[in-house]
Amino acid sequence: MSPGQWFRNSAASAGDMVRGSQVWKSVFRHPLPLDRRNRIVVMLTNFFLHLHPVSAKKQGIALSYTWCMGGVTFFLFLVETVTGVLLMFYYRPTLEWAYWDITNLRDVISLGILREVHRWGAHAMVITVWLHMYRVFLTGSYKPPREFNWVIGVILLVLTLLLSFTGYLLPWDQLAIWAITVGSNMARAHPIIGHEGPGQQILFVDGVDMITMGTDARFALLGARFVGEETLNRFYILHCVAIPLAAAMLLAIHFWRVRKDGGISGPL
Amino acid sequence: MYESDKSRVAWLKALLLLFSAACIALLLLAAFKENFTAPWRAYQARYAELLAEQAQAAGTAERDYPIEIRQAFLAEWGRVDRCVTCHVGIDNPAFKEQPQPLAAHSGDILKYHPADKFGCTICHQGQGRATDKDAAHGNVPHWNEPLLAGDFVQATCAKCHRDDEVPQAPILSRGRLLLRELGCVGCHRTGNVVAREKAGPQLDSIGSKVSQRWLIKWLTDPKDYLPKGKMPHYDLSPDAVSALAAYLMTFQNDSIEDSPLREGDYDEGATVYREAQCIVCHVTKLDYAENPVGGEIGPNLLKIGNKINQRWLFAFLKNPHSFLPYTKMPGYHFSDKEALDLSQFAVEEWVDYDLLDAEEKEPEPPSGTPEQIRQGKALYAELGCGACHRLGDEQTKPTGPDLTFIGSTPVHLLPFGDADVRHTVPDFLYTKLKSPKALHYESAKMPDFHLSDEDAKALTIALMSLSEVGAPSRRFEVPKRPKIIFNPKDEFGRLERHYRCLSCHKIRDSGELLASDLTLEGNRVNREWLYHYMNKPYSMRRTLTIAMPIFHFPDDESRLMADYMAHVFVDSRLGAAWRLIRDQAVPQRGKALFDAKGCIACHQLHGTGGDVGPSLTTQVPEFPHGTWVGDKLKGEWIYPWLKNPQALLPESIEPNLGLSDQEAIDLTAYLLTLKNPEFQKPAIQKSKVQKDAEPQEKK
Repeated sequence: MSPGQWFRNSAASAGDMVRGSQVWKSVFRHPLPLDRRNRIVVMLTNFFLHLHPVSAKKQGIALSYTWCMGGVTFFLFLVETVTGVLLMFYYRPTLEWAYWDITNLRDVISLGILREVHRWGAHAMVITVWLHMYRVFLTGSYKPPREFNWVIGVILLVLTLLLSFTGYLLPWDQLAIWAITVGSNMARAHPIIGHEGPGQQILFVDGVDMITMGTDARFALLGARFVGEETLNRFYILHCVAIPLAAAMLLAIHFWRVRKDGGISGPL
Repeated sequence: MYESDKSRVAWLKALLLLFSAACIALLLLAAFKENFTAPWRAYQARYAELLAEQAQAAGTAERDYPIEIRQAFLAEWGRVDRCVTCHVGIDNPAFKEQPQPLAAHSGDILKYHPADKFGCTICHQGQGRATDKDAAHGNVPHWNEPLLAGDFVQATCAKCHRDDEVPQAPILSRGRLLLRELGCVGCHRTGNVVAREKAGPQLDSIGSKVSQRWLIKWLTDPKDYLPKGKMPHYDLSPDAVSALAAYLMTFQNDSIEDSPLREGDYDEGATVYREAQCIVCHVTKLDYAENPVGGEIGPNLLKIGNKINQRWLFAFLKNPHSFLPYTKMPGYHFSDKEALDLSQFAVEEWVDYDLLDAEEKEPEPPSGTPEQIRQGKALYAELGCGACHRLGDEQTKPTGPDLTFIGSTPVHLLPFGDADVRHTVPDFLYTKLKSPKALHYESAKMPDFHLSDEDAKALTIALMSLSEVGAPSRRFEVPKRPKIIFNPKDEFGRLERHYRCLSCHKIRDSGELLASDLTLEGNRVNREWLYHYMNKPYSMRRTLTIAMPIFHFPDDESRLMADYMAHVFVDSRLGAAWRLIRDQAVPQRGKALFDAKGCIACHQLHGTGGDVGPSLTTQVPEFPHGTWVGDKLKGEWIYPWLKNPQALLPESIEPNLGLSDQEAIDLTAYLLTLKNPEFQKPAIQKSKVQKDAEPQEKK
C-alpha cells in the first residue's frame, strides 16, 4: 500500500467514524450530499442553507456572471460584525472616553489593527454593494418576478450607507463631529418634518409651530440641537444594534426571496 | 459549460484564493509588527540590558525588568503620559550620560515636579498617549501642542506659576517684562499681563520739546536716531510722516514758547551734570571702543542737542513731573541758574555736529497745513500711537488682535500666508515678532521693533504662556505672592514721589535694585549715618563707582527721611537675637577672631587689606570725616549678617564662616568698636515722624 493510499484509507475510516458518531448524527440528520436527492435534503434541512435555492444553473453562478459581489458583501458584513463586536469590548461612547479609546486602540491595545480592518471593511462594503446592484441592473435581474427583492436590496443599500454614516461619528474627532454636523443638516431641510424644510408650516396648529429646531427630524437624529454626547449615544446604538439587526433581518429575507423568486437569474 | 470557461473559473478561483491569502498574511504581519517590533520594545530591552550590566558591575542581584507599556495616569489633568514607555531612564540618576531616549532628566526639576504627579506633557507638550515617536512628539498634522524645544518649555510654567515673575523661568519672566516695557500690552489684550503705565513718553508738549525737522526724521525711522530705543519702526510714507508730524507739532506749551531764550554757562553745567549723577540713568558718553557708557533707565542723551528745544529742557529740569508724570527721573532742587547751565551743557555737549551741519543745508520743513493736521490726527488714531503715548485726554482702545489665549490658538487659525516657516504657534509668533510683514500679511499694522533674537524668543515664550490650558485645580496653582506696594500717603511718600527713590532703590516689592534695598535700612544703619549720607553721599561711600546723586536735600527733608527710615524700615525680628545676648559679647575675643579668620584679606582696616569687600574704615585724606563700620552699621544687622550673609542678601559674595553664636556676637561687638573719632555726631533734633506713618500695604 502506497503512503498516499494509506493516508486516503485512514482519512476515510476516520471520516466514517466521525460521521457514524451519535454527536454527528444528532446535528446532521442526513448523509453527505453526494447524490441529487441528498443534496436537496441537505439544503432543505439546514437552517442556514434553506434560505438558498436548492439548485442553480451553472451559468447563473459563474463568477463572470455574478462577480460574486452579493457574496462578498455578505462576507464583509460578517467581517464587520465580528470585528465590530471585538471593538465594542474597548470602546465607550462617552465624551470622556470615545476619542481616547480610539487612540488607545492605535497606541497600546494588541491587535488594534482590527479597527483598521473594520474601517477598510466598511469602505469595501459600500463599494461591493454598488457593484452588486450594478450587476443586478445590467443582467436585468430586478425585473419581475424579482422586483420586490430589488426593493429590499435598495433598502439594504441605504442601511449600508447609514451604517457608514453612524460609524463615522464614533471616533469623536473633529472630522467626525463636523461631518455629522454637516450631514445631519440635511435633515433640517427635510420636507415637512425638517424645521427649515418645505412644507414645515403645514404642521402649524393653533398658532403653535409643531416643527421647530427642538422637535424636527434633525433633533430626533441628534438627540439635541447640536452634535453632542446624546448624538454619540444615539449613533452608537444605531450603529451597533438597530441598523445591524434590521440589516440582518432584511438580508435573510433577501436571500430567501432569491430562492422563492426562482433562484439566481440566468443568462438569457 | 465550455472547457475555456472552466479553466477561466479555475483561474479566477485561484486568484481569489491568492488575494484572500495575501489579505490574511498582511493582517497577520501587521499584528506581528504591532505586538513584537515596536521601537519602544527595543528601547526597554536596551534599558534592561544596561540595568543588568550596572547590577553586575555593582555586584548586586539582577532584577527582572518587564517590557511593557509604562505610563503616568494624571487623573486631575485628564492626561495619560506614556512618554516613559520610551524614556524609561528618566528618573534613574545612573542614566545621566546616556543618549536619548534612555537619558535621565536634566537638573533637579523632577524633585519638585515628580513625574507621577506632573507627567511629561504638562510641561513639555506633545501627545502623551502616543507610542510612536513622531506622534508622541506631536509632529503630526492637527496636533496643536508639539514638543517644546529647549527654553521654549518655560512657556508652560505659567500654567501653575501665575506670578509675573517666575524665578525658575527667567526667559518667561523677561518676556513678560518686555510685553509691558515695549508697549505690546497697549495694543493687545494679554490676559494677566496688563499695562501699569504707558510705555512711551507723554506728548502733550511735544511741539515745544522738539523741532519739526527732528520729528520727521524720528517718525521716518526712529532706529536711525536711537538704535536701542523702544519706539518701533512703522515704515510710513513721507506724506504720512509729514501729516503726523504736523499734527504733533500743534501740541505746544505756551509758557515755554513765551519764555525768553537765555544762555547758560557750559562749564558750570558740567559740574551740575556730575553732581546730579546723570550717568547713573542715562547714556552720556562713549568709551574708547565707542561703547555707550551710562545707565539704561532713562533715554540715551548722546544726540539730544540735535533734538531738543533748550527752553523745554530748562523747564523740564526745573519740574520734570509736570511734563512726564510717570517718569523715573527724580525731581532735583535745581536753581534757575543750575537748570539753565545744565541745559546749556546738554545741548552743547551731546550733539552730533555732522548731523547738525547736514540739517542746516536742508530747507526747514514747512509747517503743516490744516489738511495735514487733520490727516495726522486720523493717522495717530489709526496707528494706535495712543497705546504707548498719552496725548491730552484722548482715550485709546486696543488696536491689535486679542492675544489672551494666543498660546493655545489652533495652528490652522493662524494667518501664516505663504511664509516658509514650520506651522506651529511658536514659529508663527517668532516670525511675526522678528519681522511683522514677513507673513505676507499686507494689512498688518504691527510696526517693526527690530528685536534681537533673544528678545524675540523671550516674547515668544511669554506669548506662548498665554494659554487656555491651565492647572486643573487650585492644588497645582502656585499662589501669587502678594506684592507689597510701597506707596505711603504721608510726607515721606510725597518726598519719595518727588525724588523717585524707587527708580533706584527697592522698598518691599516696589522699585528697582539698581541701588540698595531699603526695606530693612532701619535695622542696618544708624540714623545719624543716614542723615549724613543724604547730605554728602560722595564723602561717605568712596568705593562705589556709581554713587547716589547729590540732591541737595533741604535739612528738614533729610532729617525726616532719616528718621522715617530708621523707624519704619525695620523688622523687629531681625535684631531680636542680638539684643538678647549682646551683653555677653567680648570685643577683644572678636578682635582675635577678626585676625584669625583673615577678614583683612578682603576688607581694609586703617589703610591695609584687600579691596574685595567694603573698607571698614573709610580713610580718604580729603574726607577726614569718612564713616567707619561702627558708625554706620547696627549690631542687629552685623550679627545676623555674620551668621549667614546670604540670608540677608542672596547675591552677596561674603563667605559664610559658620560662626557660633558666641563668636558672632564677639566679632559684632568688635566691629562696633570701630568708630571714627572724627565722625562728629551732631545733636540731631528729631523731626516729627507721625506714628501712623506706616507704609500703606496693598495687595
